[in-house]
Amino acid sequence: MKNIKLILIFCLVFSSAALFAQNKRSFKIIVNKSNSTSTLTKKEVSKLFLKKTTRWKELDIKVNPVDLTDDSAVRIKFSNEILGKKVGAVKAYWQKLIFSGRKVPPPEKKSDSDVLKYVQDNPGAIGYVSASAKLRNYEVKTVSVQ
Amino acid sequence: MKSNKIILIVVTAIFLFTTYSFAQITDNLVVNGYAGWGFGKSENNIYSLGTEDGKYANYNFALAIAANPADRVSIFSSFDLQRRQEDNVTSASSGSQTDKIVMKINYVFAEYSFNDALRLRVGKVKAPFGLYTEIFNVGTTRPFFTLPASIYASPGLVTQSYLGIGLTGSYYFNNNWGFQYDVYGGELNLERYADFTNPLFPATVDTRLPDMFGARFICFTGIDGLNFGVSGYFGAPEFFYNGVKKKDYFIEGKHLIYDFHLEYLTDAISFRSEYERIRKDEGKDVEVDGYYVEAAYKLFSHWQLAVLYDQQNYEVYDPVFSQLIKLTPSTVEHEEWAFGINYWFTPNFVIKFSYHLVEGNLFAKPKNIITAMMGGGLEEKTTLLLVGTQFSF
Repeated sequence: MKNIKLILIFCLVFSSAALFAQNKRSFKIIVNKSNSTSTLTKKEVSKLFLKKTTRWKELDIKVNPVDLTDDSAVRIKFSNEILGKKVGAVKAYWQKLIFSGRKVPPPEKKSDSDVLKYVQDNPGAIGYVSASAKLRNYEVKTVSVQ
Repeated sequence: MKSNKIILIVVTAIFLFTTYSFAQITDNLVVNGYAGWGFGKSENNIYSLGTEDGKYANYNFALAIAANPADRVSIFSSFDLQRRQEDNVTSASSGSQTDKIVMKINYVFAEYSFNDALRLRVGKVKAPFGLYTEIFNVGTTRPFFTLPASIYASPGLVTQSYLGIGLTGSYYFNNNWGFQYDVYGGELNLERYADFTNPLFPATVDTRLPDMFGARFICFTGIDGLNFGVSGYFGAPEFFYNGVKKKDYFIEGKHLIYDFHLEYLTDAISFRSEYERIRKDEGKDVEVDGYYVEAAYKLFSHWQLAVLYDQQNYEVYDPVFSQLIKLTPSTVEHEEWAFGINYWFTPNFVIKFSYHLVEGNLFAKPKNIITAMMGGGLEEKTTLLLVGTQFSF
């Protein structure tokens, strides 16, 4: 009985830690304020950024993902956690699509503020910024990722 | 001399345009490009980018321009400049190799997207065939400097684009499985090749497939990076020997060219394999089948080791041609092992070194093939050392 209690406590602590870690991501996903989307799964975000999904269903407008530059620590974390690939592998993925005349990669922005401005100016945009980025001066909103 | 000046002006204009465009890229206009340079030294024969004296003059440069003039409309275009050795067989007495700078439009087409699963493409469209036809000269998408010869240097097998109309689309399920398809029709102009089957009348051969139909289907498995597919096209080829249409040629009628591929790509691993075959609709005239297995592994982020096995079998059923081939059977044989080591500074910039062991003279040929054939023998074994850099932006 004592062992079962210990296992239960361990599971509770472990799952809480995992949940805390997820909520404490070092980046947040943002969309234009006019976008009604409030929740996305990790797979959906991945499809949007890799342009496997190219239109917002509810809005019937083109999805415009935006990246940070490849030397950004936030991009490295986003790429590993959401896309499940290193930035180099993502670049290789885009090279194939660019030169086969299929798709072009998202534009790359140097800073959080550049991404925030891009998302504010494009109704179909989706981007990510560091968790510490302040959104209040921009017409954007965060999307929670399940 | 005049053509060199024109090329210089074009290159300068491209460079200035590229530099300027990078500063001017808008959300609706994207310019990308790729380039490469390689040195090749071969023993016994001329093969791929190598000559027995060593050859520095192998380079290419291309720009790809994509624009979105309207919400559902995209325009894709690409053109390139290449300096490559080409088989110079324009006169019956010449079998030597010369350099040629070639500028060509790779593709230029418009696409209308109904949705992700249905997109219409019209123009000179990238040919969706196998793994590499859409990225033929893009060195930063592969582990070796050149593509496997059995399929991509093969006479009358591959092309980079078709002229006509096509449909394409992709769909992804929630479990990560998905597919991509292409169906297309129009005309194919296959890659030019040199025919030395009759040593007295060597020729540069252009092959055209009017009224052809083609398709490709790729399945993306639930395992990230693993996909397999099948592609093919169907049509009656027309041959132009040194620019003149060949009449009463033994290869005529409808042929099916098909290809199976398997690809597995991760951060560290790159594995690709293809099998390709030409089959005649009715009867037999020529049968070609080729396959390769190409594997590479990245060590310590930057270093990559690569290995390739490549083979092609070529059967000719025409009584005259098959007798000619019996005199020099190695001219229709190709088997190759290649070993490579690469250093990737970034995913867009790589230095490649490879060593190739080739058996057969289907692609590896002596400097003067006619003299060699008349002199009683071709050297069947060839080695090639290739060093080069490839980059893209």
